[in-house]
Parts: sequence; C-alpha cells; structure tokens
Amino acid sequence: MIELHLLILVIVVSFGFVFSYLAMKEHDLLKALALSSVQSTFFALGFYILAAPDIVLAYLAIAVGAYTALVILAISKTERYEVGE
Amino acid sequence: MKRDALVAASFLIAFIFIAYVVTVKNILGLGGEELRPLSEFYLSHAFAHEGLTSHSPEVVTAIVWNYRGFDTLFETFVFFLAIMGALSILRLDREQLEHARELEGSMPHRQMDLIVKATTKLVVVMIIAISASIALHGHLTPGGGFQGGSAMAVAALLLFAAFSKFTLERRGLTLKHTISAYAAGLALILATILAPVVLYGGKVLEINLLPGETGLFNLDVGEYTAVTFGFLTVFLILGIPEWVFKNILRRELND
Amino acid sequence: MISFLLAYISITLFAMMLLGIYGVATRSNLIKKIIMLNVMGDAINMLFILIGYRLVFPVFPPIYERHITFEEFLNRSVDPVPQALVLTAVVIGMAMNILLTTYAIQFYRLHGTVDVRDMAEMLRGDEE
Repeated sequence: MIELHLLILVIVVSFGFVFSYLAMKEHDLLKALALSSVQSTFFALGFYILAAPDIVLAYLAIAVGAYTALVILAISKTERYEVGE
Repeated sequence: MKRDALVAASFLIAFIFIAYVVTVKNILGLGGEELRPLSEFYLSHAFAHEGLTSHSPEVVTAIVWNYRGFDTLFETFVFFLAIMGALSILRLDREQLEHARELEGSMPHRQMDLIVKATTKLVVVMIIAISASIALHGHLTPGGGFQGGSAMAVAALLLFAAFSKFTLERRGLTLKHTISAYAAGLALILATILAPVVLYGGKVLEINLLPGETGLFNLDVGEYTAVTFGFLTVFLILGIPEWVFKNILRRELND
Repeated sequence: MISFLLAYISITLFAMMLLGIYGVATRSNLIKKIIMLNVMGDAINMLFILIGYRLVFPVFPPIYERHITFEEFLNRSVDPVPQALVLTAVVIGMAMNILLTTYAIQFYRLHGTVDVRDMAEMLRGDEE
C-alpha cells in the first residue's frame, strides 16, 4: 500500500516540475506567478501525503495566499512583462 | 569561456554525486523503516510527563519551542529584522503619512458590489476563527504560532482586496496599531522565555519549569501575534498606491 | 519498485532545485528571479521532508493520539525533526521574499528598471 502513496507523490512532483519549468519559460510575469502557484498547490498535496500536517497549514497560507498577493503587488508596482533576450 | 566550462563541469560532478547518493549508497537515508535515535528520543519524551518532557502530544511544536527553542527564537528575530528592513526602506515620516492619507482620500472611491462584500465578511470571520483555533491549540493538534499567523495574514489580505485599505485604516487598522501589536507579541515571547529565570531560578527558555503547558501556549500566542502583525505591517505600507508614493518622493526631492 | 519510485522522486526534486538555480542565474527580471528562488526553496523543503518519511503502512503524523498505544505510535510515526526545521524555513522564506520584493520595488522607483542588464549598463556608465 505504501506504493500508492509514493505513486501519488510521483505524480505531484512531476506536475510540480512541469509547472515550474513552464513558469521559467513564461515572459508574462502574472502568468508565471499563476503557474508557480499551481506548482505550490501540488506541493501542498505532497506535504499532506508525506504526513506533515503542520507544514501543510503553514505552506498553504503562505505559498498560495500571502506570497501570491505580495508578488502581485510587486508586479503592479513595477513592470508586467519580462524583456526577452 | 573558461567560466562556462567550469560551471558545466561542476554541474556534471553534482549529477554524478546525486546518482551515486540516491541509487548506490542511499546516504540521504531515504525509505528506511527504522527511526533515527534523535527522533526516537523526541517522540518518546514529548508526552511522557516525566524526565525531559514538554507535556505536548504535538511533537513538532514541542521540538520547535522546547527542544530546539533557541533556533526558533532567533528565527523570530530574523523575521523581525526582515520586516524592519522592509519598513525602513519603505518608511514614511509622520507628515508624509498624513499627506499620503489625504491623497488616498481624495482618490475617487470605487466600491465592490454587495455580494462580494457579504461573502468576504463571512469567509473572513471563518478564517479568523480557524486561525485562532490553529494557534491556540498548537500544542494539542497540528498547528502553532507560525501557521495560525500566516492564515490570519491571509484573512487581512482578503479584507484589503474586498474593501479598500483606506476603509480599514479609517476603522482603526493603522500602521501605528499594527506595529504596537507586533511589539506586544514579541514582548510576550520575551517575557515567557525570561519567566523561568525570574520565577524559578532556572535558565533562559527552560519552559519545563512553568506549570503544565503554559510555556508552549504562551510562546504560540506570542508567535501568532508577531507573525500576523508583522505581515500586516508590510502589506499596509506596500498597499499604498504607486502614484501617491511618486508624489511624496517628488516633494521630498523638491524640498 | 519502491526504491525506483524513491529515486525518481528525489532526482526530480534535485532537477527542480537545479532548475531554480538556473532560473535565478539566467532570467534578467528581478521579480522573475524571486519566483524562481521560491521554486528552488520548495524543492529543497520537499526533499528535506522526504528524508524524514518512513516506509511503513499506515503512517502517522508525529502527533500523539489517545486511541493508539505508545509502542504503535513509535512504530508508525514519521520523523518530526525535518518537519520542525522546514516549518520555520517556510515562514522565514516568506520574510526574505518581503525583503527582496521591497528592494526590487525601491530600485524601480529610483531608477525605473528591474532588469539586471540595465543595472549593469548603469554601473558601467558610472565607471566611465
């Protein structure tokens, strides 16, 4: 049965990697932030699978709530688009 | 060119090392079935009520505030320094703060519609109740000061988004009040870690001497207040619109 | 099977950490750098928690409950030490984010750019 936990973890980590790669490639910063929030949500699920309820409580509030709001504020005060090379 | 080659080579070495660690040696200790001796000590002593106990069934909170208390204490100070660094960059003196409030008040006032406001009120009350439960039962159920504080900061952010910051400041949530509450939380933490020295003649942070779980409870409440109002302070000053700040900076340059 | 899954998870997490470092090194926007720094921190935290995981079923969080005996709790509970370390790291990481974002915003106010290439040109212009 422990394989089931590890399989869920594999899916979570793979989606997290894919979304963080997409976030790195994205030039619109708001879209990049949304993609990295999706990655954070998957990782919160992963922390739950790893039997860490304390981390889930702190991580959900910070990585999906406060951090997103902070970076949206920063983007609204600076530039929205990243200039490519 | 040489630098690029060095970077690439170091990456390769890192990859080889990782493959070795993960597959051959298992140095990280992934996937074991036994407990490490250190964590066995923590797990068996946290709720034992004798010896080096901390009277808490929640082992993570016991480690965070009792067994590794100095670590968390100094992390609280790192948090404090980061917040104060942000504040000292974005600081406004009293006249400038008044000026900013005037400018914001003169701004045309946009209102969210009734449904959003009513739903936000409901949800915010729920989040505040849940965060208080997380923080105050931190030594019994999953949770603690850090978790409750960050949930509470999210509730305040929801209020900022649904109502305006100006409305909240008029209702009394000003920068002065949040900083005072932050200081009160830090003072509660300091009082709790100094209480064993003053009352029982023990050492700093020896909260086992306090009756029952008072030490853990007090430290959790202090951390809850500190984290909540630390985040809130920064968001209050970051929420000032950019054109107000530009106006103030221009006035500072002209003076 | 189990060791293969563990190896896959940990190699993906290492790769994600390296992706974060790569993003911090190559992206030129400061806000983008902060986002990638968080990706790196998340990967490291997850790996750290994974070290404390135990391959027993059912596995319990490190919280003592009344309906299980003490020996069963010791046999089934995961390692609490990495959780306690990561818990503070998450919150302190947020405080560091606040500080870095503040620096970026203030730099934009003073110089009108958050691009490191423009910063490099400014520095070069100062030297000449």
